[in-house]
Amino acid sequence: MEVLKALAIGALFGIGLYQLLRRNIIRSAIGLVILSNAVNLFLLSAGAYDGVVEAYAKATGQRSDALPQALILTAIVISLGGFAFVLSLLYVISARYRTGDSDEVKGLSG
Amino acid sequence: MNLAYEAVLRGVDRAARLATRTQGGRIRVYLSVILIALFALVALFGDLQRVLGADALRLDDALDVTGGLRLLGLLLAVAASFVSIVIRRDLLAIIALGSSGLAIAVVIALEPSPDVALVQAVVDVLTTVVLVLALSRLPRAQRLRAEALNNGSSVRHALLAVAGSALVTWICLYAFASRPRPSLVTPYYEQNAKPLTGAADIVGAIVVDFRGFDTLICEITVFSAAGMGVFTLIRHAMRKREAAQLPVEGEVETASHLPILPAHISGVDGVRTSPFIRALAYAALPLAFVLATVQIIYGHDQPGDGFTAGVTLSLGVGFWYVVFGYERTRQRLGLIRPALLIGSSLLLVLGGSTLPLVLGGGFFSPFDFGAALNLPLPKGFYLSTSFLFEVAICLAVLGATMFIVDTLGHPERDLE
Repeated sequence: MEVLKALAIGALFGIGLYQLLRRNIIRSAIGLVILSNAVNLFLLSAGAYDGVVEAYAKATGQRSDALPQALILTAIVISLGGFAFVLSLLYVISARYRTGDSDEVKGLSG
Repeated sequence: MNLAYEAVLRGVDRAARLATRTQGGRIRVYLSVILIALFALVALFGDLQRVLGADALRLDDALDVTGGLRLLGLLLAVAASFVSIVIRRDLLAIIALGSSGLAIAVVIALEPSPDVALVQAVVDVLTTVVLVLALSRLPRAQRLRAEALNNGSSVRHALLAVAGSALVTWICLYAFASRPRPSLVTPYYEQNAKPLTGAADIVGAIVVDFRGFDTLICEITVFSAAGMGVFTLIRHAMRKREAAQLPVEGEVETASHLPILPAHISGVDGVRTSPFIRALAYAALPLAFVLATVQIIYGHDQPGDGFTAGVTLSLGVGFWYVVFGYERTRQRLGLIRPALLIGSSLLLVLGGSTLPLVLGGGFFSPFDFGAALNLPLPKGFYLSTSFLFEVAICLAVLGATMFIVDTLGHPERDLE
């Protein structure tokens, strides 16, 4: 299972990367979401140990590791906020540079 | 001496010119350089022996029922993400992205970690909604032109993506090879969640109580700031545009022909909505309120917390925006004012965390107000500090999401 999961996370990351590198800025935004999904899945699977039951005080048996879950909970929330901000930046780019192409945004060039 | 000084200065000048010339300003090139540097680092310092010798990496547990379900979820996630590359229309790509996120929620639920799965599911739906709103504001002509120019460099990018994929797979294997390992922190949380915080849900106890300050800063502050940032940025950009009086190239499709308050009820984009959908919207909002309340009250023993409650509520309100259109929703739900919500949330956090200090505890310490005042509350409902905290998170999330949905879903021409 671990090997398959690693392969799937790798594939998700590669797909996200490819989308991120495209010129169409809305596709870049999609890539960003896929990337953060892949990273969250990786962090969750890399917890200290595997659990059989969910992490509740009442549950009996091997509980799943609660700490990475709590951290990812916060990470998902923050990435949603950041993502909304990225989208509004894309909108401003489209309105000011009159383009949906990331290569035509050249404010950084020397 | 002078000669040496001049020579050094000239050298610095030349170096500066060279450095400036390497800055092409293309964001994609910068990204590629960063990634290649990362590959080089891992190739230099990655430890191959450690992974290949590990016995934690086995395949046989993929064959039982949960393993099969997990496999299905992972396959769905990867396939849907891949579809979002191949598909031509941006709207369909966004929907493929949404289904990929939901498949990941299934995988997370099988971990088993129901709290995270719930958050992932609602956040994924909200992400999809926000993306569709943003899409409707990027002119179609611009997107098509960017797409047409894309073809030249796609092979290079595919190579880069495959390399990145291999790199991350490698890092994953490296991390998984060391499992299971003893955890130092988790046992403490597991033993003390119920006695110290009164919450049976350990994940919820960590988020709201043990790491409460982190949640205060991260969830409430950052999320509110993001919402207000979106609002300010878009308002500002629009004002700049109006001031410059530039002709708009590739007119935005939405709302340029939408009359203010038409006689019939029309949804987003001026499309007439059917009575069935309208009845559904009427039913969905109160239901969302009930769901949110249950999640806040019983969230400390079950999956769900203030954040999920806030997102659920804002999805209900967002549905109204889609069905009834911008003007009518503003008119009907005039009470839901984003700035007011965020402000009251921050006040609630401050008040709720200072009250225990007055009543003889630490700042932000768990305190059960219901028991102290002898209120007749139903079983399982504690009017405690963490309850106030959850309500505050819910209000902040609702406020920030309303800012986001409000500004992104605003008909273009009404912005002053």
